[in-house]
Amino acid sequence: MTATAEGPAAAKEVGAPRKRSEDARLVTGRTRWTDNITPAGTLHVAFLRSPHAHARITRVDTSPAREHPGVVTVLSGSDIADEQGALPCAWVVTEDMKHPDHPPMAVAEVRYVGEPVACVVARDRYAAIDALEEIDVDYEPLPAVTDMEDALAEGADLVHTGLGTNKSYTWVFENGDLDAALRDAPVVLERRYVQQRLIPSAMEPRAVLCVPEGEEFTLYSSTQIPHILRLMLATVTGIPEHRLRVVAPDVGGGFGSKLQVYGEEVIALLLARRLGRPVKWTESRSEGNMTVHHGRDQIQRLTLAAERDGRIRGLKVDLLADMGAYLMLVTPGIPLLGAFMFNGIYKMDAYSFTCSGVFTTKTPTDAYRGAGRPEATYAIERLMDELAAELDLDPIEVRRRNWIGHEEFPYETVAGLTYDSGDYESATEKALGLFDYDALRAEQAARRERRDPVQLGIGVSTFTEMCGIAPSRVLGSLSYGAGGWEHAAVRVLPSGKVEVVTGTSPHGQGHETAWAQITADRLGVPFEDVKVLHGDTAVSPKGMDTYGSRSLAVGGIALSSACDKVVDKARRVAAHLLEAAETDLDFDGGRFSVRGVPEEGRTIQEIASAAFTAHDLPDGLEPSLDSDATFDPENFSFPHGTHLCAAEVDTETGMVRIHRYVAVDDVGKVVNPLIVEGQVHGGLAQGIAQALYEEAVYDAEGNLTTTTMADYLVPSAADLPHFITGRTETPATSNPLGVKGVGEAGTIASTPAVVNAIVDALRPYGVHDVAMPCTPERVWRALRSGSGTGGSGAPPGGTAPGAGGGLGSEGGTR
Amino acid sequence: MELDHDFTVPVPVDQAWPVLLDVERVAACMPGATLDSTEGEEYTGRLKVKVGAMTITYRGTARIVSADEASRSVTLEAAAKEARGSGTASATIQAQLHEEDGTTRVTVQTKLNVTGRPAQFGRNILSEVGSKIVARFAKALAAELESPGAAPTTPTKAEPKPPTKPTTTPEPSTATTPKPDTTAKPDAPAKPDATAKPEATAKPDAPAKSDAAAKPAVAAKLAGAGKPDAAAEPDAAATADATAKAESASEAEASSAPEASASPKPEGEKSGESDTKPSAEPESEVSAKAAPSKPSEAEVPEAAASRGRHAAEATRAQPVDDAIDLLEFAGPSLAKRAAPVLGAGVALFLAVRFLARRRKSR
Amino acid sequence: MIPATFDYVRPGTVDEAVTALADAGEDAKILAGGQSLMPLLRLRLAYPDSLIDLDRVDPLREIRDEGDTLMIGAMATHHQVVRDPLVREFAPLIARATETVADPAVRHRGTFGGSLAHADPAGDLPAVALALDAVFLVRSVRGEREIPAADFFVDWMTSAMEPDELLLSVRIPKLGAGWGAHYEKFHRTAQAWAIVGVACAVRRENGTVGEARIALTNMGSTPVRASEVERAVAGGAVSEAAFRSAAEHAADGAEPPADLHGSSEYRRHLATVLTARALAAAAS
Repeated sequence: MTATAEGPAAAKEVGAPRKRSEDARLVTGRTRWTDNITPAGTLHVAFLRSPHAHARITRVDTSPAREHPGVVTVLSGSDIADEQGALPCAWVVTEDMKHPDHPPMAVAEVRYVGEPVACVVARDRYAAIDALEEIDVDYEPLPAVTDMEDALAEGADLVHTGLGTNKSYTWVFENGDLDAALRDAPVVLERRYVQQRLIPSAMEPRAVLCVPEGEEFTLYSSTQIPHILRLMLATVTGIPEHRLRVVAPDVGGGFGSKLQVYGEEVIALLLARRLGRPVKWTESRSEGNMTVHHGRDQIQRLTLAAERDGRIRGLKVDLLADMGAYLMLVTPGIPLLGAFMFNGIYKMDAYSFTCSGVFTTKTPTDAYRGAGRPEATYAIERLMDELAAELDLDPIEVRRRNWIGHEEFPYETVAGLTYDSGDYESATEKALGLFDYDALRAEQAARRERRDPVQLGIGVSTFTEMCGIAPSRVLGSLSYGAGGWEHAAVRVLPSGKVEVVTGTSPHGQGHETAWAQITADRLGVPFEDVKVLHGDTAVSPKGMDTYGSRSLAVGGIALSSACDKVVDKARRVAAHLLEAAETDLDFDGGRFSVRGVPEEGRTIQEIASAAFTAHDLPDGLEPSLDSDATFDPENFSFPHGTHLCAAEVDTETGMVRIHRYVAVDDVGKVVNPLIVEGQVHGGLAQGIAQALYEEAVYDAEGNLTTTTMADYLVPSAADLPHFITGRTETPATSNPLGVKGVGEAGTIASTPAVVNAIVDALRPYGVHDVAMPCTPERVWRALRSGSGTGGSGAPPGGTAPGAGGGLGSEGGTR
Repeated sequence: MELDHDFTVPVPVDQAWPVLLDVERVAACMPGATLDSTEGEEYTGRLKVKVGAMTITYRGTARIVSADEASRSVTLEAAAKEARGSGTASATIQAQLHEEDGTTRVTVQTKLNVTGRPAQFGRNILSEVGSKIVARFAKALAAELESPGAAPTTPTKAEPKPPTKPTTTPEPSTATTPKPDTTAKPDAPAKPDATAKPEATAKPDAPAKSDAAAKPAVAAKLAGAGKPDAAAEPDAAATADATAKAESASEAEASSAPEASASPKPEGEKSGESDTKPSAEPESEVSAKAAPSKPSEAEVPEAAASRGRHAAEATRAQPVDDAIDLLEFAGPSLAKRAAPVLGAGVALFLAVRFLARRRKSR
Repeated sequence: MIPATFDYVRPGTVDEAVTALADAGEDAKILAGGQSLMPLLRLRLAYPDSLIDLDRVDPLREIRDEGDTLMIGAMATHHQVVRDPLVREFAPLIARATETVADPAVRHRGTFGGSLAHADPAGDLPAVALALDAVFLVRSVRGEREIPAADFFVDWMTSAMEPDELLLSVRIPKLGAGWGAHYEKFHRTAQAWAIVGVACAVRRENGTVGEARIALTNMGSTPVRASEVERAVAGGAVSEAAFRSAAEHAADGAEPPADLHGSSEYRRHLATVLTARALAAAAS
């Protein structure tokens, strides 16, 4: 059954644009952010971090810092080398994957700027940070490794000498005869795109507080994954899992950056154990920019073979993925999440995907909103525009000739996935209408005609993605270290109020509202009567947490199932009380009634009370309606949509301005359209940011030069256009609610739409690519050089001016 | 990164060569630099880089790893750490002299690596700051090269650090700086209580309370302005190094500092203004020395001024602060005038870095 | 990050402030809102011994009509400046440029004088002050003096003020009828520094350009007066072609920085394009 199957009355919450009930406290900050929690006696931790991208630590003198007033202790990596263990990587993607040891605090060698080297524990944060200045460390600098292609060359400097190579792994997927597809292909496009490195910029910085209680520990962390973190901390430290409680209080955003087991979390736990006092650490923004795991950072070499009519024959993908200095929780697997998405919504006969993970002396990478899928979508959607240009076809038309028709679902793709549903035609038609595509094309032609200094370009992105991570057996086949199920429990209190316990861990997504909406409908109780509990392993003992747009498509289904079990139990009690057969009972709007005798009935609250008193229950029935459920999806869900971007490009300055942006998304059934709208807006902002604004820039020596918001440009509302959004609704058939997930769609779809628009504007000038982010200088250089990837001319490498991947340079890694 | 720089000095190579090898003389040309000690071929010193509100102080060592008279080339290696941050700077510098019509063209190739805070911004702090420092350094070096006779090594005032008696500041006199009134000092001690009431300054009324202190300060100020008469502190008057010493010593003073400057934190109180307004004269002496660049007077005073604070700091956390204070002492003027020669290496490499406007890299 | 320890003084009057500054010595900094100083403190790029907070020195917030000139107090906030009717009438260039500074929250704390005294060539107001021939009134315990804008900006983040001097106010010669003004700011996001900015005022006279004043933001270690362009347009036609031609000289003599956000070459190019646009906008 689906959410709507219960009839109109039951559907009143699901689908309603409720304002989020958690927002008042979140936006005012009057809530439990981790840094707001300070038990009596709390000590504060500050970390001394490596200024070098790569160096041997020859001496750490902590003694002067120990003398600093207020300082309780100062520890270097070697001081805790015996107990700190190694940070985990849960995704060993190949049997021979190179997996270097990753101490939470560096002991002998540092491999990226910002790696922790020592820490101060003091009575207040001021003393801790002041005392950092008194720790003296001697380093023997080693060569920085900042370029992936150089890193793989013969004789390259090594990030981990002991590994003998900078390559962590090579992972291959092939289907169909690519050689045949390429052979004699009428059209072959070869392109090289760079997915620049991005810094997830959650509004709340990371923070961790660990409170010891005898041999047991409660660790509060601004994390997306309290359940996984608990297991991993137990594994790393040897503290038994049942002696550890992990709490993710309110968490202010993550975007994947808090899907991690960070060294600071491990150290906080160790310090609490050593000192027997609560210890807390909260990062600063510039500290976080260096040390929160980064996202993207791929070099993509792509070969697309097609017929003259535009039909794709095959696609070859060759990736270099920057791991950074170490493999963190799921670092090596992130690019592989894109392996199944490079074919997009298109049909083709042959596909080859090869990815090599490369170590560099940079901050480790890991999941960032979209995680592998934005990179893949960017590649294929850029290629589709290139193909259209090559064949002088409209980019929409090229896509039409290749996409999976709505009547062809379920469809098994060349990448081995089965798309359960979709309707690309409808979404595209709707988007074209909202966009006024033909009028903008006419405007574009007029500007070209009159050689307007401000040219107009139109970019298309018809994307899909895989959400609902994940079917456990699929994860198993990918050697992932865990399953992909989700858990929920529903408790019906004696008064008829309801507590929902979810294993998902919201950090801004609005689960407290959406889960209450689902529950209200399934149980027929008022929305206000539902309380959603989450993020505390003592409260919510089972869960796989929140990432990968999985919460609704997996956790929502578990919740729905748990609700159904409650209703089933209640039905038995109701039948007993009403002296009717269970099969003769109707359940509607929270009330059981005897079919044909609607005035004979019991509300679910009355039944809850009866279950509580247990005075008159059927023989053998437990006196409880409480139920739980664990859902393991059989397939992913596949949101899709069509995004259209019109961009104005000032050919005199290179400045790009988004003129119009239309996003039509099909995320299946919608629980709360306001939340969906918010997710789309935020996602668009982040995707557009990759296209135009954001890049983590390292100089040739491995210094991160974008440690502050003055240099790492996160756009604000003032920089973004008005978004025109629309939806089509093709329910997922892979889950009973018909939902798909919406957390990442905007981010995945928008980046290629924007870059396609820029390139479209500049094609008459001979430009076929601009490196991301498409800064004004890069656009200007592309115009001047009349092609290429955004121009040359900027000196390569170095900290200086526009070099070393500087935002005016050619772009990213060479 | 690699930097190239060259400049020409109007003296023959034979005259320039020995100067280039004289670390102390070269170092003295570097604004903000202080040479602390020399051990064999290794020089230890500090460099304070100050622009606007920003201050970065390095301390480190340098040594000449090769000097080839035949090719007139010198190679120097330097390594330094930030005094108060975790950043580092290291350089390998090769300087070569070329004869050109009776003048000498100096070419310098530097491999430089700066880490830490200053390297972590999109705007190039060090290169901006550097252009300024370099301009001064080049000018000073040119002057030094031209006048071989000019007092090369000033008296190295060796360790400013030893926390001797601040007040005493004997050195200053040496420095030649005329120290007008000693009065300043006196009152400082007098005011000790100021410390007691840290808050005072915050409030407008503060002055009232510690007016005694206040006045001296003013006087000092004036002195700084160039009026000798003012009751400059002893140390103020004192040459830079003097100050340096003073400062270290000053902790004692700090605590007693009358200043009253209102610092909320007890420790923080600035020690007496005593130090604050020193230097009126220093400049004059500078000129005397034929010091190259014109040291901004401003800086001198500041150096002195800083003292007070430092002293204060010293009280609360000694060792480290100590070093820091010293560093700050090193105002540009100091470098020239007196004694402290700087770690030539450090100075030179930084200079080079700055000089070289453009890098070519990797 | 957290700033290192410093002493904090909050005077209530100008006299107290000046005295406090004199007392505090050279490693003191004036806190005039905190727009630029607070980040430097928090990043530990600045280690002042003491901060003298002018927040309570209310007289410094005044904006006054002084006949031929407009007097803007150093502690007038950006927000105040943007909304002030005198500024809008007699110094519209200042209002226009100030509107582009940072974001609303910062404009409520940041001050006119603070931005100028910081002397950041990437800041918007220094170029504006230079273009308008503003005069800076500074005071120390040694007395008061006036510094013309042309002499005020000495070097990168360095002004002509002595360490013991406090900026009290800035006098802006009024631009009367016939003058138009425009600030052309080129930046990637609303809160970012200008890659290049052009402050421009133009007086039209009988259909020609009577006089133009142009200064550039972030084109050197100080704001830069585009004198060549001023000369080239003076007496010429009010036409886009004339402006473009004149603006070709906008970067003459400038030594623009090269950094993450733009190379020197690109800045030179932008200066020419943006100057032409600023002239056209100011003259329209």
